[in-house]
Amino acid sequence: MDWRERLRLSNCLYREVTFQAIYALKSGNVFFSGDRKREQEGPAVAQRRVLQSKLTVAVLFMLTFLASAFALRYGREFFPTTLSTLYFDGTIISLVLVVLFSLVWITGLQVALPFVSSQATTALLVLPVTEEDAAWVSFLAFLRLFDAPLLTALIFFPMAVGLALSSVLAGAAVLPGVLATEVLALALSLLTAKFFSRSVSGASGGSLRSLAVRWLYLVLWTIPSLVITIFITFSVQIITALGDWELNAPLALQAVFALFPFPFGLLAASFATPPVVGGPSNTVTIALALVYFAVVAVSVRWILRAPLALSRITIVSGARRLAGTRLIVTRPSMAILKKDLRIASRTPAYAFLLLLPLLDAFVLGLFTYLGSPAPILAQRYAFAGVTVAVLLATFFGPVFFATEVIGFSLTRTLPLSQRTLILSKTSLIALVYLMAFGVVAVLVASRVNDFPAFVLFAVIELPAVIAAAFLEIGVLLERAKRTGVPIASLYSGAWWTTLVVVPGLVVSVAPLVSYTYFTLPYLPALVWMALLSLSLAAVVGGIVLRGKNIPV
Amino acid sequence: MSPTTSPESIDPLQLRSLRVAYGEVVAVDQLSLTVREGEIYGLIGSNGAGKTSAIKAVMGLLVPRGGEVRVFGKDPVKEGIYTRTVTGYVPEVSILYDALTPREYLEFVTSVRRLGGFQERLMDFATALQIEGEMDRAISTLSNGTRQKVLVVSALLHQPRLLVLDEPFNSLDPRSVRIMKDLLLAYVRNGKRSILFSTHTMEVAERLCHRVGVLDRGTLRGEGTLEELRSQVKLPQATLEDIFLELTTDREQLNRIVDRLEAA
Repeated sequence: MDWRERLRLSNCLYREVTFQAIYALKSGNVFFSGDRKREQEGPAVAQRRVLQSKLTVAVLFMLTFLASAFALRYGREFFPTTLSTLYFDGTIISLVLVVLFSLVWITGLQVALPFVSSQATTALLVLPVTEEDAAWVSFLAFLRLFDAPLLTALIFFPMAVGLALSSVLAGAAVLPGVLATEVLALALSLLTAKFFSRSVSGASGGSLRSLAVRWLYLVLWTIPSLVITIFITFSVQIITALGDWELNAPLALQAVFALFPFPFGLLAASFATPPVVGGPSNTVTIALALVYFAVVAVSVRWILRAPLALSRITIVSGARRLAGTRLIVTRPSMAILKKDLRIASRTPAYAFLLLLPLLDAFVLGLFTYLGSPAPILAQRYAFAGVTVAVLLATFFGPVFFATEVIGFSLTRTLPLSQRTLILSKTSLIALVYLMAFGVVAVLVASRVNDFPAFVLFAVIELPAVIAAAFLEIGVLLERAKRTGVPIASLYSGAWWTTLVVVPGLVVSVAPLVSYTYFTLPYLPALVWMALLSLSLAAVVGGIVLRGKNIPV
Repeated sequence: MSPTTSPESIDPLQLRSLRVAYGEVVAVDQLSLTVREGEIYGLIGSNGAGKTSAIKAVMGLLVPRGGEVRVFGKDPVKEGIYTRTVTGYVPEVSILYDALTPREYLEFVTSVRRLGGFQERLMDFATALQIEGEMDRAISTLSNGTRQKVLVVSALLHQPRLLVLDEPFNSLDPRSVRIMKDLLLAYVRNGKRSILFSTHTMEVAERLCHRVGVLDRGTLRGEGTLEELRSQVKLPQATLEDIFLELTTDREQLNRIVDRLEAA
């Protein structure tokens, strides 16, 4: 099979995977919209939405490169450090490569799971296609799912470095680093996707232990995000610490620069800045880069065959258990909450969004704890931590409705009222917010100057978070009932899902803005904030929760 | 013996001139039928005949373009909670929450229905349909047949007065089909419960149904007991398959196609 034919076949697979990622939930769904024209346009719309998603990630990459160029050019002016210029520039480039690695890893992981579940490559099994051709076709289809971000990094990061350091050679020298980073991140994506498919998605249930193990696995999913957040939040501290090591522990510093991807960062920087006396020679740096490249070469060979192998995985649940048929019956709202948490415990993408506000709260709280700022400043950081939790819980509110989509055709045949569904979804969002607040509270308790005021601030904000959740879930449910669109799919990028976040954010942020407007003293500001927060909850709740017997 | 309706009772299901359309495409047109208490009513038809659309309208999942649907006298769209309380439904495509196990899914269903005193019944169903060993496996890893069994159990647990089954024998193995048939016959035996089910398997419909409605391209071509349908097509010895073909197919055209295929 020639390359043109492989590309043509990979395009068919790509179309199928994108279609399933966006529209699979529609098949057999009782929500069948009946709009035949829209149904026929489905594949094209799906491809457009995946393209939008790819471009969004590419723009995120570009912003990261822009920030790194700024740091390379002006960083030393803003953050005075004892770190030598070579190490400073090398560290900045390396930190960007770490962020790039994490972004490609998480993006690849999110793409790989629908690739597995789509079973698109099974079509190749019944065609007279050799194993090698099938592997190439699968690899090309997989690669196309995030080609734009990968190409953006390959083209724009070298350009950003070259322009910032005014050196074409430095820019060109970044290219192997980007390539190595992308290949290794892709390999890790495929490996972890295999792991998640087997250990999480198809995991059997039946015990608290298996539930705990699944959530433990899902926390692993947040590692790339944690790495990105920590490296961005603590970049100044990292550079300061490396500056100290250069003076006091040069061997430790050289050990850090031997780790991936630092040799690539150092190599690129060495073309624009003079060498450091007593530092590693260019020969050592190149040798280390070559060692990592050998690993990359091995990974490339594996990656070429991995998408096909991955798509043929048959997920098998654990051994048969005969634990009886006894069921535990709870209240309907609690049943929905339990169901959502159980679905999230086997769906990494949903679990990630549940864990993200907690993760962010943890990083901000840690920043406050480790940074030991003045108590009044710590109080502000703590408020900022809660504000971020509010924003994230509200921003991802629609996603909590997404867990409903797949089985919603069946849920709609149960005697379940709209009010019960909205209340249970809202309680999940409120729970996420409260847990995030709890994480911040534990970490900043000993640092802030007025802990009760901080607790009051977070508790008063709760009704506004609830009001925002009522609004988002209520609007989405009405929309789903009328049009039957499988809204809020993580990959669908549905317009309504995005749109509904805006009024949700306005509602949740209004009391925070009123608090900022009234500033000190605390109490009157908190009173105004409480009045507004409660009013919003009452008004929005009154509208959305009307009618006890309106079915979903 | 065919069930009868006493004058004072309300029929479990009444469709009057039902019309379901998707944009310009009419899926069901002027469909009128009644399912009586204690009756198994079979809706038979080819693929795309409109069976699933009619059933979705019965469950209130589609809003009809015309006519009316009454489940125990109530509109399933306006009185959704009531309709869903008194019915049990197995859809044609077994879309379940893939990330749950059967146990977790059934816990969700029984909790939403606020059920009590069903544990023994569940054990019986699970044993009969051989899913007791699958209760803690992720649904995504189950075979289509097992998924179908989970759906059937979830529709039966609350002992609905009207059971609505859309192609319930799809994907089931022969043993399970036999058990299902016996189970459905036993289900209506007390005369208080009814079943509406769609199928394109004539043998199943012939064996199970008290009455049958033949749907073709959205329109009801014939309705009644087997005897009544035989009289309608004037074929006293006809099987349900013969009757179905007589009512829905151009026999001469079909014979020509078969001849050509044989000659090929």
